[in-house]
Amino acid sequence: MNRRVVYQTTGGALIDAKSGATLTGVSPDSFKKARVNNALRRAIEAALGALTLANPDPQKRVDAAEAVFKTRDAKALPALKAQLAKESDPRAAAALRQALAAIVALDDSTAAPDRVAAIAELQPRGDEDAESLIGEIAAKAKDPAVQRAATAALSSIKTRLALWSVAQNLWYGVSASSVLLLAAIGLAITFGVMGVINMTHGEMVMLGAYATFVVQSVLPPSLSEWSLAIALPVAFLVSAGVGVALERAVIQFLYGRPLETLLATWGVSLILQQAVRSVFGANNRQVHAPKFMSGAFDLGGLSITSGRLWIIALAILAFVALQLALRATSFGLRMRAVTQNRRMAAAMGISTGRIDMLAFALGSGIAGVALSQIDNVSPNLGQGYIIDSFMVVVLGGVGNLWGTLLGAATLGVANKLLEPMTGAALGKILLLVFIILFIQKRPRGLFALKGRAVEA
Amino acid sequence: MIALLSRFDRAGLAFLALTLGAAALTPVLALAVPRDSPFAMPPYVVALLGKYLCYAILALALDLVWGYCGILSLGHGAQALRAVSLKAEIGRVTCVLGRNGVGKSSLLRAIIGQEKIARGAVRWMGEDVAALPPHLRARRGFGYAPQGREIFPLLTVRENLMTGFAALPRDEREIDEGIFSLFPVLADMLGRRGGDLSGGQQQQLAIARALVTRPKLLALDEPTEGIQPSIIRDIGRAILHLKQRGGMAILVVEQYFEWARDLADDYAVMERGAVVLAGERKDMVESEVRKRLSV
Repeated sequence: MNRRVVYQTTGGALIDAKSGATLTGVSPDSFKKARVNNALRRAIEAALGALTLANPDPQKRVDAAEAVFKTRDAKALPALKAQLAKESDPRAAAALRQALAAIVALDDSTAAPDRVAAIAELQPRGDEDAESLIGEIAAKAKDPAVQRAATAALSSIKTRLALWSVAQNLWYGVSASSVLLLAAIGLAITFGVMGVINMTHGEMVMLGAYATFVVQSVLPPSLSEWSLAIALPVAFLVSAGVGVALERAVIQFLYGRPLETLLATWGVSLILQQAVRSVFGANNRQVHAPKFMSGAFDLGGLSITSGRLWIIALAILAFVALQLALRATSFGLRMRAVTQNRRMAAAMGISTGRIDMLAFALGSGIAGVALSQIDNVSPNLGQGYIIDSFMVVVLGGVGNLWGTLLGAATLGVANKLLEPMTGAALGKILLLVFIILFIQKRPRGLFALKGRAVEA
Repeated sequence: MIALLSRFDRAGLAFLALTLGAAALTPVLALAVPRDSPFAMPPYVVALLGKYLCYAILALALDLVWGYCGILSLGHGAQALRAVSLKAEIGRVTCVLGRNGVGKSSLLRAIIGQEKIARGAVRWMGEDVAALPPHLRARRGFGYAPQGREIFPLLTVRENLMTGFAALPRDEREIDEGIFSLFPVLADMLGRRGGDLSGGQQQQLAIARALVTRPKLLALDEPTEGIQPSIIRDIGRAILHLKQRGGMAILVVEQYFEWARDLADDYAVMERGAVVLAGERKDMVESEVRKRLSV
């Protein structure tokens, strides 16, 4: 029998696999097709693994070692040992050692002390892969010493994983808080500072999101990386403009009449939703995140998406900017004066109508940038934020931005920590009950103002 | 309908207009626009508008009920002033005297624009300012320190003073050093919150705050109310100093007769919304005035 292995290129030429020489004058039909079975597959994978383990790129070596760690293929053992002996890159060496330990620890035929040492090597890794591997050992190992070591390592890994999962939920909470803060901080101005119950606030969030969508749609693809930089101010202006129009057309006639304000703005919120539905359709529209905002990285046991990181940065930026605007500008001073004593402010020469209008523009505009980086927009997206935003402002203490910050942080984190235990719906209900009880105890919210100043 | 309308203030009217507008619009949108036209509204939008209309009518009904019950009705107050003729001249102190509730404070508020006047005029430098809102009167030189001081409680002393910048052109926005020589106590308290000051300090702050706007008319409402005697004397000295500096008409509403008498160049006595006695202090018959001040 003629034992020669030949492969065919896409061009149709036949090449001898051993020598690499091109064969001429031979018909492909004269060869028997090699049957791919598991034995062959294993042989090829091991060969490939060994070859990639020796890859000159350290990152490739790490990946290959990780792959071996996952398959725990004993056939890769010689290649692992060979590579480990000459490995210079510390990360690759660590990955190789762990892959080696995984194979050794799982192998019933190795001596018990070696396996215990291998388990000790695996334990600091502490992720889900290590957990399942050591769990397997603990369940299967016959040697009592190995079993003890595996059980101990397993419980330590489990604790570690539980801690990381709490940290992950905390992170989700912080990220949810930042969106909540962006949505609520505008309301802290219109409701907290001016005392207007503005039910269209959620729609301002929605309009800002649609403004982002429109900006992305009309921009040429070459500018798509910059779409956010353009969309943020546009979203701010759109929401602020609608806010001003609303204030001039409806709300200014209803100052001091909370029930009518609530009803009228609620009606306007329905109208706005319907208008958006008529123009853009009822379906969700996709907003693409630019490249620098997509992707994720690991920090210890946390997986952090950069989009969320940017939202947090934006929330902090908006908060600082707003504080500065209120504390350090003449507009901020006038707004605070109007808030504290409208009649006296007018007597000092402050045009209260103009301040109302500008404050409304500011509050609505900030709501507009709240969601301008999130992936899906739909006409009733604002509805989900309005109740939460009011809860944040009430919890934080009306008329106090620091309270709003703390309120948003509390609600966001508490919500995400409760959710895994109770489920989303029950978590919301529990939070609502908590807020009701809290307001009974402290009617002025978290940051109640103290001292003679309040009564004056 | 007119009788009904008269029960509404401006906000009520706006709401009524909104409701009637929606009421008129809904059937028009539902029926008048042909089904196949691009402007035709889907049935659920019409239903939505109809629902909103119902809520608006409900709110209106509630408004009416409240109006009749007198709950939440926004003071369509009684007439406070009847026959008032008063003159405040630049370089002179004019004191308005009278018992409680004769309309002294209403008069000041009408002058600076916080209350609308039904008839008559408020003349200032040849212009009738009766139709101007308060912030425009402030920009024409009306400074006001109200009864009860009305300091902005959460603003610092400095910020309280800076609220007066709104009445000034952009390039004149600074606090006159002279203000701190009149009220030295304020200079040490610039960082304190206005609400944390004592009553006397608040009164000095209220006058200083009015002075920041560089007023040509300084209107003070009971500056001695609830204040210890030493500070009352300080305030009196400050007022005299301001008069001597000139360029300013000073109008003081007061119940503390002796203090006002010593300060005044001109005086006016009010009774039940009207000025009943007025003139220069040197011609004042003290017994006549006292008779109208004693309870």
